Amino acid sequence: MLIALLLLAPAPAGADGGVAWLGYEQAAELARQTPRPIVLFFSAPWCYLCKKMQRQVFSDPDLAGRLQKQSYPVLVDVTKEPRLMEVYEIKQVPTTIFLDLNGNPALRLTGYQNRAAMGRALMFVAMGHHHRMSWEAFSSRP
Amino acid sequence: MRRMLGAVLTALLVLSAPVWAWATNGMNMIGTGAVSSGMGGADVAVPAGCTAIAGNPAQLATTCSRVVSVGGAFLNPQMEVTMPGQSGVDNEFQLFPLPFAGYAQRIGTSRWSVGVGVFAQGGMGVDFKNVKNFNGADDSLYSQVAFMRLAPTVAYNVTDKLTLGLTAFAGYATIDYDFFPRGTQGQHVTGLSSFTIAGRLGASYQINDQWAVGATYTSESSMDLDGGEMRFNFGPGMGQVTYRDVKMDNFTWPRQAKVGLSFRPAPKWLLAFDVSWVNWSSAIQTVTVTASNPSTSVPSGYDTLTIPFIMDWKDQWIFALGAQYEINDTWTVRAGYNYGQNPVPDNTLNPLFPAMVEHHLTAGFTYTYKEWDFDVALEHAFNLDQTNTGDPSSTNPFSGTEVSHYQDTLHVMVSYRF
Repeated sequence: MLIALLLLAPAPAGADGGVAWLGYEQAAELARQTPRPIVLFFSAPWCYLCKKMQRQVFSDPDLAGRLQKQSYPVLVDVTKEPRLMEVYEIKQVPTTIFLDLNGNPALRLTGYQNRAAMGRALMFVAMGHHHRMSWEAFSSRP
Repeated sequence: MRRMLGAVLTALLVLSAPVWAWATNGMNMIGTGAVSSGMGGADVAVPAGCTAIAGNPAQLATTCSRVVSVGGAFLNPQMEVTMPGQSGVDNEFQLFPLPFAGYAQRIGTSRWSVGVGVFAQGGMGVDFKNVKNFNGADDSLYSQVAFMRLAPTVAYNVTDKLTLGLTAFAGYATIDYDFFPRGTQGQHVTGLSSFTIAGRLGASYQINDQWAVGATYTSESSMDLDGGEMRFNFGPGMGQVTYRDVKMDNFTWPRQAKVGLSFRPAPKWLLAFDVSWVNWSSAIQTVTVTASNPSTSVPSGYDTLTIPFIMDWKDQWIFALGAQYEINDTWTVRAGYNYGQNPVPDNTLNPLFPAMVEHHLTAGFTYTYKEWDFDVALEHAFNLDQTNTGDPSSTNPFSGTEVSHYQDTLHVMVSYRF
């Protein structure tokens, strides 16, 4: 099995085709011009699960495309932007916060989230479901 | 404090009954936890979460919030001993549980991570019944060496790429053995125990998104094994005499140095390679058992018995290679190979302490469900035959004895992040 795994290992990947992250101010400006939810992904250079989400979740072309189309995705390095960490009361990373069209936090997810959870969370905020039901109720729907 | 620590570690030893462990790189496990073991023990440059407590403490910094892990290994050794001129005798069936429990967390969004865990560092043991002793009668060879460690650990992200870690080990070791107790000069020894302290320094350096390196250094755990009791068989005449104070000297858990690298050739792949050096030659030389305070009067000169076991183990090099593939968000598979040189010399092979297997093949997986990880790994150690080639003497009673050994180990672990 080890040999098979080693033989099957592909060559190093190039550009991953994942999410093209924006800066916070840039996203805020874009949201003023064309209102969409803002997705704030709080990360840190030493954060293993943040890197795992980058690798497994945000590199997925389908999810990345939906995030680009339906929101303004922002990568926040908490070591470089402590002000945002204070404003959004970040206690751990990774934390993902979805801001609604008014710029108010509509959903906060802490810890590792897989592709399905992120896709569902995007739908929850982008489609306005957060006005009608809780995230727990929405995420438990079949 | 010492009493409380002893109570905790003793409770864990009891929970791990009936007897103890066969370990596989000398007396050490090839890895702790199903993730490390699934990759053949190649873990020093691999994110580890909670099990970093037993591996590279710097990898504790891969914990992003809080995680608790509980699990262990179940080890089934298959052994055979063949004394000169006799047919081989198989080891009794044994299934040794080797527990692990740990908790780790990052302190907020700071650069500090802390954790604490208890785990079985390793050990060894045999249980041969109906082996002919030196008098030609049916007898037994039995041993169990157990070593449990409590390990508070801290890790600090010095820079975005460099992380350092430190683990303090408080250990508790026990040794029992039977050396042909029904024959002349036979021994039945129980209750040897010792507290130990040691430390491990670890470092990891993330060169870039694909390459990482790591290293650890573990100090020696000196042991003062005492508090035991021995029933010594003097044979016809004096018969069996119980000695109430028994100690064992020159039995030490060795220092170890380990370096490794990991390479991520694609987002879903992780390859790892470790090299370790274990200083058995300093730790296990001539192990001396001293028995005193006999329970009955004995002739002059028999108040204290001094029994040497010449072992003279060799330093050990270990090479571990592992691969991991993340199939999707739910499933991750692993495979590994581990080679650890046999530290037991041919001329001092003792079937009571034959920690000799060399080649290991492993495979495993992780199933992730929400905040839960379920890790499983299987480890097979391939058969090794070894014969004592030393000249027969009072300090080498097993001249010409052959020992065969292979084993299978199941590793399981459950982790919960919160």
